[in-house]
Amino acid sequence: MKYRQAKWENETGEGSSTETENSGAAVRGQNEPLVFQLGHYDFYLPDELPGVPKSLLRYSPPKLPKVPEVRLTRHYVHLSQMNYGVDSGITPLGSCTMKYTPKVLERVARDRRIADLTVEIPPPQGLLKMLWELQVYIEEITGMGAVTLWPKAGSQGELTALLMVRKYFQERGEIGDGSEGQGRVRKRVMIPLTAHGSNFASAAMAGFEVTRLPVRDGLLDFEAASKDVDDTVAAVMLTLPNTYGLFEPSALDLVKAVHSVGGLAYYDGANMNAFLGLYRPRDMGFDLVQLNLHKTFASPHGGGGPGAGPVAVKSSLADYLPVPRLVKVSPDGRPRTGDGHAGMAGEEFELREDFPKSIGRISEGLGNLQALIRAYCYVRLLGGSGLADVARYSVLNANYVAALVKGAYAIPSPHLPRKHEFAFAPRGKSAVDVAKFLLNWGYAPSVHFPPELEESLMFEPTETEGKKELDDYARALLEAAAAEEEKLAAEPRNASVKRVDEVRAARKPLLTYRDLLDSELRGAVAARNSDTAP
Amino acid sequence: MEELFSDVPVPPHNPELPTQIDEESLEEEVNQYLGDFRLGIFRPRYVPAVVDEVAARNEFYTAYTSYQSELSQGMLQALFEFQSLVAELTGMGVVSSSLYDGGAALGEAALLARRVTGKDRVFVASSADPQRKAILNTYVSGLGVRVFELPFDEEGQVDASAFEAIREPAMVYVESPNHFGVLEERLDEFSSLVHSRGGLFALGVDLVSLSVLRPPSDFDADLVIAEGVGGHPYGSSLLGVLAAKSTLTRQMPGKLVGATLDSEGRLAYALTLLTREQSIRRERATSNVTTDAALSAVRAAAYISLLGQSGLAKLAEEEVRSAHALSSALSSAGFHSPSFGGPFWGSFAVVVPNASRRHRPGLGLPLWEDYPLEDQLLLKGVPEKDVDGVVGELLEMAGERL
Repeated sequence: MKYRQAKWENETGEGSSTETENSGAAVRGQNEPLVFQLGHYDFYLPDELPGVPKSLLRYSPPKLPKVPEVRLTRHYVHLSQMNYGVDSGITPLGSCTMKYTPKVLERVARDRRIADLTVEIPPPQGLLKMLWELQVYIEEITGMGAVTLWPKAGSQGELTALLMVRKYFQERGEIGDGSEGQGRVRKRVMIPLTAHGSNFASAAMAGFEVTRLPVRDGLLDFEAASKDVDDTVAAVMLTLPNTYGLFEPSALDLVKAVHSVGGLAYYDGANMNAFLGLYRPRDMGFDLVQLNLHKTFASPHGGGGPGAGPVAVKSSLADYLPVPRLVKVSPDGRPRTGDGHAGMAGEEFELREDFPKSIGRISEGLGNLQALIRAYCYVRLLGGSGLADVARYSVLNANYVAALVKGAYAIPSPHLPRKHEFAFAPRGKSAVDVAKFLLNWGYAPSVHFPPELEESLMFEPTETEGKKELDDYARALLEAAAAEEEKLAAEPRNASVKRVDEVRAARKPLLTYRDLLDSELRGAVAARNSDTAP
Repeated sequence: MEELFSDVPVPPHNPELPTQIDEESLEEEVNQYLGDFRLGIFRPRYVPAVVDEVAARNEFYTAYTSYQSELSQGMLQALFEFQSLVAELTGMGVVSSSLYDGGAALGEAALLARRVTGKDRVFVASSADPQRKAILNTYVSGLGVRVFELPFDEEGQVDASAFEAIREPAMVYVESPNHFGVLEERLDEFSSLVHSRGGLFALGVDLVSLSVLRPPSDFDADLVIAEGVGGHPYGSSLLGVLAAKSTLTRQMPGKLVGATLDSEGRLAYALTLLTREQSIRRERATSNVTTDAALSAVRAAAYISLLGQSGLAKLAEEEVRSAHALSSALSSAGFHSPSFGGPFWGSFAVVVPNASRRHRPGLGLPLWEDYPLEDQLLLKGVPEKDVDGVVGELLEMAGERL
């Protein structure tokens, strides 16, 4: 198969514009042994420890490798070469906003002064000042009146917000303490089928029943949904733009309908990149919102985490926010919030626990402090107009690629403009096959999401990719659409492994090195080691 | 461009934010905010430089969750190794590839126990980490789970008669060493008592201590909760560890990495048992976890592999010996140290008269904020050269009342 290999040819010195065999490698390393096969097993069990009863001491040591620093460094360098991230190339997963992180954010977040802080020391005022400013920025960007920075993931933000909803209705006597049948009970949370799975799971963890809202051609079926609205609804959770990359005006009608029966409206900010600096959830009528700093505010995803999911709410819900609350203290000792960006002089910031209506603590310490500092820096670097450009270019980029590939793929509701991403489906091919083909260049789309679209794939370029990257990606998509089915089944060809048998992994789970050595895969483990022997 | 937003029915809003600044000015600004603050006497565990280097590999830290196995073998193997290393230390059969922090791990453990036992009563040692306990309460608050605290005795250990009185538990959680640094000596009895009452026994541990202490599996623990090792900045504990018996595998929250083969029969890894998770199971998932703490788990794995069992054991030994040395010095100077009678590990409580009134931040953790322990500070060992200094400062704090 011929394909233009701009990305990898440059590195291998094979020229940059000729059509060559598809021989590049999306990831380079392979066959790195397990860490247990490196180093040596060096045991030390002290005969006694002061004051510690012998009955509590181990009689046989755990079998841990001790790997010399140089070998350990190479181990992880080799493993990293078997991996792929935004810094390797475009990572256009839908609904994940894999944007490039400006490197100054990393340098600042890795400051030793942050790393060396301990719980014995109160956080310095300057640090609290930055966090407080970030709260103000988030209030301004979302239109809300109060913020908690502490949730360590978007889904933990969802749980935080839903527990606040619960507390709000408990205070109003509309949710009892588990004993039902006492008149009106706010027990339901409405969620469209296009939503991320975490919405449903968070609602269940917060003790709500889930009402799944039907979807037609990527859009909420408002008529059907509105029939289900009554005073047992505690909240509706909506992701805007939705996971098809579409803005749905009827969503705002549903918000009104839920408000009219006394319910609350929750905005899942996972897709906020499309609206950043342009439109505010509060202006759309929402009462609570979580933002994913590892998506919208340029914190890297860390191969899965840690992330951060601050929650912003309208002022009347502020009492329910988790503790501690970060507040600015005026000279008379009273907490104040939301009075802009005064200088440091005379300001004091405190972490307060005395909020009796609070849902309590949701995470340890000061959340994911590094992600919070990166978000602060991101807003400072971009300013208001820069943030709005993020939204504009992320939407432009998605529409550009959608226009290039719409002839070869089925795109739901084609008459509507996309927002920052789009869902699409191959014609007569499996989504997995198309995705595995794309992996040859490191292009990993979301697969089988959104779940309501058959053989769905998703693409979100983000604002940080240029025209060249988008053109390359679109060409790869068109190749995949034109390729024969049998060829696709052999993909990917140039990742560090061939297609991985995920069914086997789930059928008989091998979750530790011990499991592995006791299994029929023992031989494959030994092969790993010998492959790399000199 | 405007056309692309023509379907949004609300007017755009220009956020009022400070004027943008360039990279150089930004670094200067943050530098000023962080300022020159004093490190306490009680430092976090040293993190070798190589751990930071590993976590700074771009292909790791800028990667997405490893859903596309073929592009993610490096991260998947690193996480598989993390699961394996923690399984070795704890003796448990399955280890969650990462959760947010110890509090989230404890909260998830309680929800797991509720599902498995069908009961809604959770018992937690009062001597457990206060933040973890608080998070546990928040996590279960939506599901009608009731949390009961088990008091501690003069040894600083869980009060045996309170333990004996436990009825209908979904889970019982005990820490050893606990928040006071005290080791529990009756874990075998506790475990069998919990099991005889039909609950799951959950044990909170310090991973480093398990290089020399009996592992949770020895006490027939069902669940193990710990904080990560290998560094995380203050207040931002960024790795929750949850390990369990293999029989609970399908009830585990969060990601699990499994070994398998690729189409050519070579060893490969994949995220597995995804049908537990929210992306497929939605409201019937074992948890809502999506983003987790993968990079922190890689840090922990690198840290453990660098030190090995002998390195961890020497570190543990040093922490215990230095804590005992400081306690003895305080005792000789006339303090009631340690204030609890039980065997202690790397930290201990001491009575410092006047401490509640005159406490200076950075000199021990005030225990009266979370417990009815007036004038008691939690200390941990310091380098030998600093012992006299610490004793001197505490004498000054105590003043004439000692």
